[in-house]
Amino acid sequence: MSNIRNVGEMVESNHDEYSRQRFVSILRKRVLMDFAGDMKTIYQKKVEPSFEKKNGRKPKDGREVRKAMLHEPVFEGWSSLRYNAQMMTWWSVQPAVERSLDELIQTAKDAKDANPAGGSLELNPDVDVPREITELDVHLMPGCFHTEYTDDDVAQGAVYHYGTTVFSGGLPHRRITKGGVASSIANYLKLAYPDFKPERILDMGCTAGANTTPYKEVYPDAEVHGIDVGAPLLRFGHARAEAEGTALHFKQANAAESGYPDNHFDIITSSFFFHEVSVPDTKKIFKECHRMLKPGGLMLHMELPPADLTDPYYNFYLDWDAFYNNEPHYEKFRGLDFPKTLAGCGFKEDKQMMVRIPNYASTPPDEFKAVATGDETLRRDHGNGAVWFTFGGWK
Amino acid sequence: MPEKSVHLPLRSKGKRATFYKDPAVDQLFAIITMLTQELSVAFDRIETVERMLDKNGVISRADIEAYKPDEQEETERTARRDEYIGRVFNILHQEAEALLDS
Repeated sequence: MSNIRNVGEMVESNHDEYSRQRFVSILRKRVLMDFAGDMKTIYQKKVEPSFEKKNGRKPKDGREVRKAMLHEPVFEGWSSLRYNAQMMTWWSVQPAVERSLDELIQTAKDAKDANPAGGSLELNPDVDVPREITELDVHLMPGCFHTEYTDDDVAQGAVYHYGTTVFSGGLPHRRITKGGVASSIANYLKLAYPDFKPERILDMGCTAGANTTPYKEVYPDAEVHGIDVGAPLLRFGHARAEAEGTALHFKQANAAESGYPDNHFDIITSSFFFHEVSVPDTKKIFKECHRMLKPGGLMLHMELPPADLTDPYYNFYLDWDAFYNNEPHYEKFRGLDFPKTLAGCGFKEDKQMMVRIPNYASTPPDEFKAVATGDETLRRDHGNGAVWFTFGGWK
Repeated sequence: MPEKSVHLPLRSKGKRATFYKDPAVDQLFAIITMLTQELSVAFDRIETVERMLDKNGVISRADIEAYKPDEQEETERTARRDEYIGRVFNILHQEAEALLDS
């Protein structure tokens, strides 16, 4: 441990701010669990039967379900509540972040100078920030991932870090720890491939590093890198990792042209990243992954499951974000033919990997191990959040 | 209180979504949701005052600001907020309930 304070724990909310945050967390739980269940009931009992009566068949895809649901009062009300809860998530932490900002910035600067854990931070102000990020505040987070309001700014990193705690704070399976996706993938790989000893790992679109950290914990001998276009997120993530004693190497870079050498990494991963990326860039990045992987290395990304693996209602439900959460590529990404796309980018079909990994923190260890070492990979779907869909391939 | 050096924006870039034919309904929905939150905050503050009075008999504003519910109390408050949201927005649930009853 270092004597640098942890930026991830420094922001203090007052009584009412804390109360607002707790309200938003439980409001989101109500929306995503209780009211979402009501909406599905109405679909199954009313909307789908009436569609079937009219068309002589069930809706064939998410778009048709969406069309049938669009003017249902439950969809309008549910969407309104979800949309507002999304914005209120960020608003609930902004005032406390503003109050602490000077201190956070100074702490992050100290961490960058001292690097007590042995990590590093490399910023590149000329990085090419994609238009979908500069033009739209993804996740409705005002200022998005990249905006800087002052020198050495970490504000957006802090809003993201504290906001995501509020975001998932009411959901039972997410409550336990940050970095749930990466701790699930890393622990899965360690159990499933005990002889695979990665020396260098890359996490793409790492934001504030919550899902970068677990790789260093599970593979302490590996060099772990994270890239993102957002400088405030990287500064924050680096400062947090250094304070926690985790050596992580952060670099401001666009995943489509990150500049690492050929045959460099043993694992390249990401979590909830590709659905924010346009399809042409997605293909470019897959090719880059193949180039940067060592022979025998593994690319494994966590994402929402592709549309052809889930039913029309679930596609309608998941694609909500594409329409209302400033994530324009979400639906097109999920619509890709994954095996074909990966094959086109260098990952041969017989070396591809698609696996649903249970959430490590909330799954009994025996059950987790059984999934990692056995064939049982389709236990539950993403909807209850207990399982992460991953895809990729070996080089 | 120290002067804040930065004011973070509240508006997110991109077109604001609407779900109703009349955007005024969307605006009202946003206002009602915010009001619901503020009432929940007021409940929390009253609960803090009550609990501190029970425990200490005397309280100050600074005590209230610094008050952190323990886990048991936070669980109780969360259940209260959850039930409260269910009540305020019950209209979203009613149609499903009717369909399940029929």
